[in-house]
Parts: sequence; structure tokens; C-alpha cells
Amino acid sequence: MFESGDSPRVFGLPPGVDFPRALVEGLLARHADQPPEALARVRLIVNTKRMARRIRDLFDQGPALLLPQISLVTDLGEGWDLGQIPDPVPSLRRRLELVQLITALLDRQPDLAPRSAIFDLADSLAALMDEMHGEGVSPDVIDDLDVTDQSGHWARIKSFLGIVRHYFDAGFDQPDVETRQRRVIQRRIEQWQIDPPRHPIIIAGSTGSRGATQLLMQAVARLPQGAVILPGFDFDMPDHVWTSLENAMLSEDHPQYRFHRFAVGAGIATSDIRPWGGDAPANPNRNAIVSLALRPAPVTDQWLRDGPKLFDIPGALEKVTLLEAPSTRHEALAIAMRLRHAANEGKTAALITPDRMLTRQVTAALDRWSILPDDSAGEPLHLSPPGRLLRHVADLFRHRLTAEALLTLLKHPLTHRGGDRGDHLRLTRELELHLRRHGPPYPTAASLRLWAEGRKDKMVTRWVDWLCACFTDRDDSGTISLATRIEAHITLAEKIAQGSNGEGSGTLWQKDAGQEAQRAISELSAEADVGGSLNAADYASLFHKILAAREVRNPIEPHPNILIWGTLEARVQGADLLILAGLNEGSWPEAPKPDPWLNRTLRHQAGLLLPERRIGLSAHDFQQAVAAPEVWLTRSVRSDDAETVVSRWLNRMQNLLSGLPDQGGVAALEDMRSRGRDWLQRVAQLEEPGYVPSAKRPAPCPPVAARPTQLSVTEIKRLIRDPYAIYARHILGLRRLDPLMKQPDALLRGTVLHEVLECFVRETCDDPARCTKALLLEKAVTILAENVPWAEARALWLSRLERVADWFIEHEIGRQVLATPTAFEAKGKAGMPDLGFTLTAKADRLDLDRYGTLHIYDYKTGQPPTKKEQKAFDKQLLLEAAIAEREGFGDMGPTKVARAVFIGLGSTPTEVEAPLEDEPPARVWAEFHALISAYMDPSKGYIARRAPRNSDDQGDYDQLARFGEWDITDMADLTDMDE
Amino acid sequence: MSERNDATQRQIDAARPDRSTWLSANAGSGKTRVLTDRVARLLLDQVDPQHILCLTYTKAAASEMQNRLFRRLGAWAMLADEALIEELRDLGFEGAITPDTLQDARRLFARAIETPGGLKIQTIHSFCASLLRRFPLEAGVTPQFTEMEDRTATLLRGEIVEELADGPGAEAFYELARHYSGESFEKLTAEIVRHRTAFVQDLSDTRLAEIFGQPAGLDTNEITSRVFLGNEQMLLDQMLPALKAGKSTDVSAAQKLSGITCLDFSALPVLENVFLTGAGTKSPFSAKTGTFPTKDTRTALDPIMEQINQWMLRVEDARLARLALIAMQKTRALHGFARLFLPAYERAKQLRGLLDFDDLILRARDLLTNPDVAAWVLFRLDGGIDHILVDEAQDTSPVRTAGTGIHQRSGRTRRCVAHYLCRRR
Repeated sequence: MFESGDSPRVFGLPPGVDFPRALVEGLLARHADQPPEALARVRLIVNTKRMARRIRDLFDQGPALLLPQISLVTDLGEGWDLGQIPDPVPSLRRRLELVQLITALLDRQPDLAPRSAIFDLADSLAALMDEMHGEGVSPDVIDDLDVTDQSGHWARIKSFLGIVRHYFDAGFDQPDVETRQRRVIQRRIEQWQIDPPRHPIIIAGSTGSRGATQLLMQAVARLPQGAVILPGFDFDMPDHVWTSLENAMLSEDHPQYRFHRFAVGAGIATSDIRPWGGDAPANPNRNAIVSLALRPAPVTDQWLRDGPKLFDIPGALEKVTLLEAPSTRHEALAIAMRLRHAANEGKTAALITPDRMLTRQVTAALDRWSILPDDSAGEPLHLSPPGRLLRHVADLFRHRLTAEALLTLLKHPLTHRGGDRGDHLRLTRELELHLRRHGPPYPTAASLRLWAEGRKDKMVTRWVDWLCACFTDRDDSGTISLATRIEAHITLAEKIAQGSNGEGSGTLWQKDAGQEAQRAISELSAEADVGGSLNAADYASLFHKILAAREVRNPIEPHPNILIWGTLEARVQGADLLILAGLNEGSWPEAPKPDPWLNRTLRHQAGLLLPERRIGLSAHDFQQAVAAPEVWLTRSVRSDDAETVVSRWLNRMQNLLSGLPDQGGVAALEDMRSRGRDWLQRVAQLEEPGYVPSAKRPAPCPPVAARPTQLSVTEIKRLIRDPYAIYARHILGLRRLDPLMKQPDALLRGTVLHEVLECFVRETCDDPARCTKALLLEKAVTILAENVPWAEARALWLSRLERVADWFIEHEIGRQVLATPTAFEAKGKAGMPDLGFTLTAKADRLDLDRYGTLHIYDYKTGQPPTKKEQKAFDKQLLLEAAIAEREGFGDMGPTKVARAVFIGLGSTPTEVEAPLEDEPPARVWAEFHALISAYMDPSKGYIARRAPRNSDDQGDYDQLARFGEWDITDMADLTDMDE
Repeated sequence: MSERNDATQRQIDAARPDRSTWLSANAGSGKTRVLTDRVARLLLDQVDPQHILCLTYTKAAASEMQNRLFRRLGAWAMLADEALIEELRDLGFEGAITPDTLQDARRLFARAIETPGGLKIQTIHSFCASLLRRFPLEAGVTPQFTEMEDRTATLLRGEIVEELADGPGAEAFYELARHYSGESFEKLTAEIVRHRTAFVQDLSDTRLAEIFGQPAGLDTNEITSRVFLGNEQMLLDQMLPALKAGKSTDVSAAQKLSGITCLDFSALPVLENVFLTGAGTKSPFSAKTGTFPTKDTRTALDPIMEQINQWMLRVEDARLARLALIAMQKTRALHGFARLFLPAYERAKQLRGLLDFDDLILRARDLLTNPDVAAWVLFRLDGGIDHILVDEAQDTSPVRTAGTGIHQRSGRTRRCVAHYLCRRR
């Protein structure tokens, strides 16, 4: 196929050429006058599956041919003749071994690192080891590095590398994936040297950025019929620029650096690299601009000289759009709109970005047009339904069970799938309402059984048995062997998926995601023997990492023409429009990862990869992508409340163009931006919410029949201050949903305090000598322990009570001299037969004095209302006095009231008497009658926030009333609800 | 070259890269500009960009400064000779301008942005975080630590408080709770964490007394014995009827005094309230000798008035000791709790691989202030840092500490120039 020659055979294809197509056409052209079997003898080695697939597709379009053999660089070791090279050890196994090795090291030298860092250190060390294997760097090389450090830090690092030394021994029969690949390539090269293959071998699409691949490419280029085809080779770059790439420490980040290194390694000049075919790039002039813009930093002063030599800048950039969005949200929306446009036109469009957050935002935005993009990355397994369920189950072993964790699991779509899922959901909802209303925040077997006892449901007993068997008391703080942990974890997950009435494991292991999860687990189980013992938290994070490394393809058929690619896939090409998104520093290119082991100089000396290598690779991806026929370059100008910094490559292009006003550079750049602005304009239109008139201040007038016929004294304040709240609660029947994790709130504090005081007064009223601080606090400790599940709240509430205890005892003695405590929590009511209305009350405490008159007491945990407030709004005690005198509390019958007193136990304890003299019960009752009869008028509305105490008071129903769209100076909107 | 006005000249002088500068100026007077100019001049002077470190307090300030610098240097790349010469002169560059100088200037933007390791313009927190990620072994942190958000920190503190209150720390917790009237310990623990360095050392009772300027062994008995010599009950018994017969202020004083059940420590606040002047008076909290009670009552009490005055003076004298004693009790309770809480918080963070913002700063500071660690850190930092520029230095006392750490360490082996900017208030 190739003419024989001595020099290595290296071809290139420029950026902007459809690489697979050009590759296929070049092959066909070279075989035009050859017998059909000649092509079948060609062995084509490509870099990725996607590349192989596309090449296959192109051949499949016809005509009928005997096809070349296509394989991947990573499949090289599968030949039968390489059988003596041992199979690689799974990287998971190696990682687990490292954990054990580091643990042993820290046992010997505890001050090397904190023990909690073991798993992280193993990950970090494994990554370094991979790289050393791939680049063929032995630990000896690192040992020999010239480091003048007397303080022992270098020795620390070396002691870590010491524990992995045996993995690098030549005879070591459990190679890593990278080592094995290197051995395979070395063996293959040796075989070729002994017996060079006569058939053509072509390696295409690789840049040779890893050492082993580079070795292979060098060898293939030298074979009698071997050839290397480099992707995105910059034929526009002059020789003197190629030479300036000599110094790796300065040039690793250049997109073409790897080709320079490859040429040097092959012993050829870059000028010896020939074009593979005659295909012109999509836009040669644009390639020239980009090539100049990306010149290595040490020679960028050449811009001024070479810039004016560029041709037709406006034409080159005609199909380039620069979108500078105000935020990532706008960026995502604009991209989604453009993709939708492409879908409408029947064009193929691909979004390329390393920013997975952005691709998720774009996918979400496309959903409104029911377009599901074909995302080559798939969905990470840990975010799939089985992945999430398994992670939640792993967490059960870490913490005490919370109501939140319990409900998360109960509501998971894979839970209780073995049968009776409907009943399960119903019981789950009932349990949720109970937990929200009554707690406890940390459910136990006992509390769950207590809840079940009160229900008549047939299924509930079995269901609660299942709850207790699966969820309660699962947390453990010890270290257990990995195998046991996996066993316990999976058994439990299956039991949860099965449910209380079924067999098997429900649907947990079904569908793609379930099967993938099962594979992940069986791989983990296979390596469990080297996993040692670990605690629940380390297990959960290990399990998370294993799932996160896998992905599941979306089972739904995606849109065929709307694609999301990783940056590497820009090489495969084949789309009409490429959208290069997230072009900001830190995103594209990503910031290099900090290396805890070696700095750049040491890495360079050792022959390891420099951190800028990734930047260089990204730059190469960018250079190829930007050469596509039509291109969008997008970025957001701000994110997270700070300006972003534009990606270096885009910045270079902008700077270059801005300096070339005479050739139309400035205008071309402005046109690129203006095309982007047009689309941002469309985004703004899409986002325009339209005009929605503000709600008016509501004052609904429901039919009289629907209005409440009974209220309690404590609600009258609300009826006066915020009648709408009464409407929402008693007529609409709406109540605020309590938080999932019940919190120690003021309501509970009040309830508990009342109970303490009732208990204390009951016990002491017959024996004044016992009325002591000590007994009060003793009662408080007991009752708090029974009713308050939070230790912090218990202590704080006890200390509050302790602070007012002296005051309370002193006044209590006085109160008991005055009258005798007679009833606690006594219920009372008084009716208005003419209105069909009843007022109810529950008095905290009623004392009778020797004249048979009543002393009404009400405990308040905070500041009691002032007398003025009581006259106008807070009529609780005044109304209780009226009830006592009209119909009486409990079995007392109507009783004359001597006084009614609030006992305030806030930070400044105080007694506040109700103004009975100014507001005698009879008058209070008459006024109250007038109030209620007003609300029995069908035209009387329940106005929202009629008279709040403070303008910023918050009510439970403010949102419902759409407060904020109106304010309290607005007139009420009386709405007749009779219809 | 255009004529410079005074302000511009001052800016240029401040941007001189060869000397350390502390610059304080009003908002809007161009401080950030001075800083970016200084970086530009450093680069022109052939300083390796990776040896320059710019620290800001907010992310917004960092990216703004970076963009400003890149815009300026970016424009140079395509400027013709004359225009570029003028730019350099405007910047205050005084050296000879050769064709090489101009070519260097045109290359600067690419060198500054892309230089391996990069010109570092960062927030202090991200600088510290990157430092710790590169030196996890030296700093004793896990290499993949998570920077803790406020919300996570709040939850974690709550969890620890709950554990302490429910377990071995219950007693210390309750000691503090009795002095604390908040709804939860959330804010208090946040403050304790913020001031964690104050709780490192065990606070002995002697030291505590010293801090409050009191003799060691001060207690309630000591204070009551200073105020109550034995005749007070008699004085009180005689005073009360006289006061009740007096003017309305005397009557109200009598009312307060009759609230005293026992002449002990608990009576002192009432006595101070009656016997001493108020907080807003000319000489606050001094004995009302000669003005209390009102004149007629004083006359009526004449035989014992001198004794009453003496008593009032004793109350005055004891007041500070009493307040100090209460403050000491609170301080002891606070320390007792903090010394249980902080180690538990540290353990919990370590177990979860979390660092809060203060950890970042404090641990980075420790890395840079320990001499042999610092030398190693600077070696590993690709050759060290020669120039530090700190923006908004007034807001960032820990920043200054950390920055100064680098400065001193670098300075030991090489020339290092620091430049601090701070907003005048």
C-alpha cells in the first residue's frame, strides 16, 4: 500500500477535516487500483470506540467492500499470542491493597498522616502509580531525584513510595492495567522486530500523549507497511514555531506540543509529516487565524508581524458566533434554543464542554420542547435509582436513624416493590404526617410500634415489623470486614426493595441501571478479600466512589441529531454545528489538580507528565473543535456572584482580532458577538414572564353556614388581628405542615413547662413546705426527660426555668396563701344560642379562695400581653373570666372571678393581671357577642392581616393570602364565596 | 508621554515594584489599579510570573483584578511601537526601551496567563486551600478534604452540642447553659469556633483573677464580708420605717429594700440599685452619700446616718468585685465547655475530611511559620514566591498573618517584596 522508504511514515490531517471520513477516503483512494482483498489486509488501530463506530458507519454506506480490520489501541493485548502476559489486576483491587499498605505504614509511623486520610491517600497514590506505570518510571528514578531537604519531608514522601515498590518489580505477576498495556506494547514491538508484518498497519486518531501509546506509534511508523495518522495536525504552523516548542517546561500546554515530541522521538522533522489526503479543512483561513492565535507564549510577539498576513478574516469567522451570557443559566438557555433550532432544521448539532453541570442545565432546558439529547457520557450510576437506593441504605449504618432518612428510603421508587406497593405508599404517608406532627425526630422500634398500635389497618403490624427489621438500630460505630459489610448492605437493600409482603428483591436489579449496579457489587465482592476492616463511613464513601465511576446509558431513545459530547469526541466530528460551551478559565481548560507528591520540576526530571499536559490536550481538542464548519463559542461572564475569566484560547483570539482593525478583525469580532447577542435577546423573550396582575388584599366572605360555630379563647386574638387566618384554618381546613425533623420549638417548650408547673403545684398545694426550688427542678428534670428528645433543648429549658425558679417559688407561696389551687387544664365553654356559637376555653389553673371566688392563672413562657393589649386584642383571660361567670369551668358552675393573671416566665419573670375592673366580664361578653354577630353577616369578610402587632409579623397563611403583592394600606377586596 | 498629574504620579510611585509598600487610600482612588500596575511592572522587569502572588479577600476582587490585568497586557500584544512605548512610560517604566523590551511587553499577556503554575491571583482562602492540598502530609490534613460550607458547619456543631449535652459533657454544658438565654447554642458555638485560639490554653483560676484584676481566691464570702460587717440588719430595720414615711423616692427605695430577704450576696444588686448612682449619671455607680435618702429622712435617721453612709461606700467598693466574680464564673463556664467542644469539633471534622475557612488560614499559616516546613514548602512551590501583593488587607488580619509568614520565610533566603493595600476608613 505504501511505497517502501527508510524514514518513519507519519501523516496528518488538519483540524476542521472530518477525520474518519478523510481517513476512509484516503484508504479507498490508495486501494483504487488494488485487488479487493488488499484492503482486507489492512489493520486499522484507532483511539476510541466512537471513532471505530463512525469509521464502520462510513464503510457501511457502501459500496460493498472487503473491510479492513478495525481495533482499538486498548484491545491490543487480546491477541492469542500475548497470552503469557498475565491479566491485569482490577484497579479497585489495587486501591484496596494500597489502603491496607498505608494502614500498615501508619501503624508503624503514626505521625506520617492522620488516619482519616488513608482512603484519600490511597486514591492519590494509586493515581501516581498509574502514571508511573504508564510512563515507565520506576520508583528508583524518583529515589534518585536531586532534592536537598534536610527536614525529613522528602523522606516522608519516599516512605510512601516505598510501600508500593514491589508493584514495579519486573517479575511481578499481577500487573496494573497501565503496566500490562505497556508490557503488551513492548512485547508486540519485540515481535515486530523479529518478524516485521508485511501487511499495512495504520494507527489513527491518537496524539500519543501517554508514554505507552507513543511507543506503539513510533514502532508502527517504522514498520515496512506501517503508518501513523495524526489528528488535528496544524499544517499552518511555520517551522521556526515548531522548533520553539523544544522546552517541555514551557510548551507542554501548546496544542501541537505532543506532535513535536512525537516527531523528535521518531527522528523526523515536523515538515516530514505529510497530509493524508487532499481534503481541505472546513475553513482554511480560520485554521490560520487559530494557529496564529495559539502560538506558544514565548513567540506571541510574532502576532504583530504575522497578523497582517492573514486572509479574509471576516469570511473566516462568518460562521462563528460568540455568546457572552450574563450567567450560566442564560448560557444554557441560549444553547438549548440553538439546539432546538438545529433539530427543527434537521441539522446535526453537538454540544461540547467539560462542564457537566452545564450539560445538565442544557438537558433540563431542552426538556420543555421534549428534546432528549444523546449524551455520550450517560448518567452516573450513583445518581440512578438503584444507585441512590444503595447509597441511602449504606448510610443507614452510619448514623442514628432520622425521620428524614427513614422517609427518604420509604418513598424511594424501588422500595417495597415485592407487592402491595399501594398499601406501602398509603402507610408511608400516614406515618409521615404522624412524624411531622408528633415526632420523634429519631424514630425507634418502640416509637414505630406505638404508632402502629393505634391503627386498625390490617397490614400495619406486618408493615411495622418490616420497618423495624430494616431501618431501626442499624448504625454501628465499629470496624467490620469489607466482605461482611457488603453482605449486610446488599441483604438489607434487597429486603427493603422486597417490602413487607413479597419475595425476592423487588425491581432493584432490573433494567440497565439495576444490572450495572449488580455488576459493580459483584466486582467489589470479588476484591473484598483484600479490603480489610473498615467503618461504616469509609464503606459508604468507598461504595459511592465505585458507583460514581460507572455510568448507565439512558434507556429512552434520544434525539438522533442533538448530541452532547466530551471534549475528546471533537476529534470524531461529523456534526453540522459544534457548540463549544463553558469557555472560562477553570472550566475549559480545567485548573490542574494539585499534586501532593511532586512539583513540576521533579516531575519533569523523573519523566512524569507535567500538569499542563491536560491543558495542552484540551487546547488540542479546542483547536479541532473550533475548526468545524459552523461553531458557537459560549461562556458566562459571571457565575457565583463573581466575574469569570475568559478561557485563554478565546482570549488569545479576541486579543489578536482586536489588534487587526485594518483587516476587518475588529469588525469580525463584533459580528461574532452580535450574533451571540441576537440569541441572548431571544432568551430574554423566552424568559419574559408576561404581565400578571397583583393579587388584591383578600377578605373572603364565605356563606354563613360554612363559618365556624365554635372557637377557643386563644383564637379570638387571631380573629381580631388576622381574620383571614381563621378563615384558612377553620373554613378551608388548612394547617401548616410541620418540618420533617421535628424541632424543639416554642410550642413544645410551652407544653412541657405547663406540665411541669401543673405537676409541681398539684404536689405542693397540700403541703406548702414542699414548695421549694429543689422540688420544682426535680419535677422539671423528670418531665423534660420524658417529653423532650433533644439533650441540648432539655438543658437550655431547664436552665431557663432555674433562672426564674426563685421568683416563681416566692410568688407561688403568695398565691397559695391567697387561694387554693383547685383545677388544672379545666375545660369551659359559653354559648350564644341566638347566634348558634360556642366559645371554648381551657384554663391552665383555677384557684378558689375562701370567699369562693375564682383566681384564673395562665402560664406564659415569654412576655405576657400588656393590659392595653388585653383590652383591644388579647382577650384570652378576659373571656375566660366571662366564661367562668356565665357557665363555669369543669363542674364548678358559674363562679365569680376575683382576678385573672398571666404568670410570665420569660427572661424577666412577671405577673400581669387582666384589667377586670376596666373591662368587667359582662361588658367583655357583650362586645364579644357583637364581634361574633358581625361575622355572622354574610357580607362580613375575613380580611387578611387586619391589625398585625408588628408590620413584619409573619403568619402561617401570608403566602396563601399572597401578602407582598398587596400591603396593609390597601383596601380589602371583599369576595363573595356564595357561588 | 502625556503630562502626569499629582495623583497619577503618586499612583506610579506606589506601584514601584522594588520596595515593600503599605498603601492605604480612600475607596475609588485607584488602589486596585496600583496593584495591577505593579504586577505589570514586575512582569516588565522580567520577574517570573509564577513567583508573584496576589491575594484578595473576595472571589469577585480576584477575578476583577485578573481581568483588568489581562485586558491591559492583552492590548499590548498588538500595539505598534510608538503606542506601546507611550503605554510603558505612562505606567512609570523608566528603563531603556529597546526593541527587545517591546517584544517582551507583547509576549507578556500569554506569559502571564499561561505560565505553568500561573501568575497567582487568588482569594486568600483558595490560596490556602491549594497550599494544603499540595502539602497534606506536612499540614496533617487529608489530601481530598472538603471546604466546609456554613450550613454544614452549623449542622455539625449542632450534632456535637447534642452529643456533649447527652453524654460526658453534660455537666460542663449545663454550667454554661445557666448563663445563656439563647434558644440554642448555635450562635454561641459559632463564636467559640471563631475565637478558637483563645481556648487553647487552660485558664487557671489565678490567671482568671489576674485578667479581671481581682485577688486570687475571690468568692462570694469574701465579697459579702467586705460589705456586711454585722450592723446592717439593724440599720435596715431602722431605715425602712423612716423611708416609708418619707417622700415618694424614699418610699420606692423602701419598697425595693424590703424585697431583701437575707443580707447576703443576693442582696447586693438591690443595695447597689438603691445606694448607688445610675449608669447615666455624672459619676456613675458611686455611693449617694449626702443625697440619699431625701433630706428630711436623713435628718430623721441622723443618729445612724454616718453608719449608713459607710455602708453605702462599702457597697460601692464591692460592686466591681461582684461584677468581676460573675464575669469570672461565666468565663470559667465558657472555657469549661469550649475545651470539651473544640476538640470534639476538631475530631468530627477530621473524621469527615472537612476544613472550615479558619482552618484553611490557620493551617496554612502553620505551614509557613514553621521554619523547616516553610523552606520545604517554598522549594516545592515551583521555586518560591518573590512578590506578594495583598488587596483589602484591612479586612484580613489572618490573611496578613499568613502573608507575612510567606514574606518572612521567603525573605530569609531571598529578596521578597510585599505590597499591602488597604481601604482607609
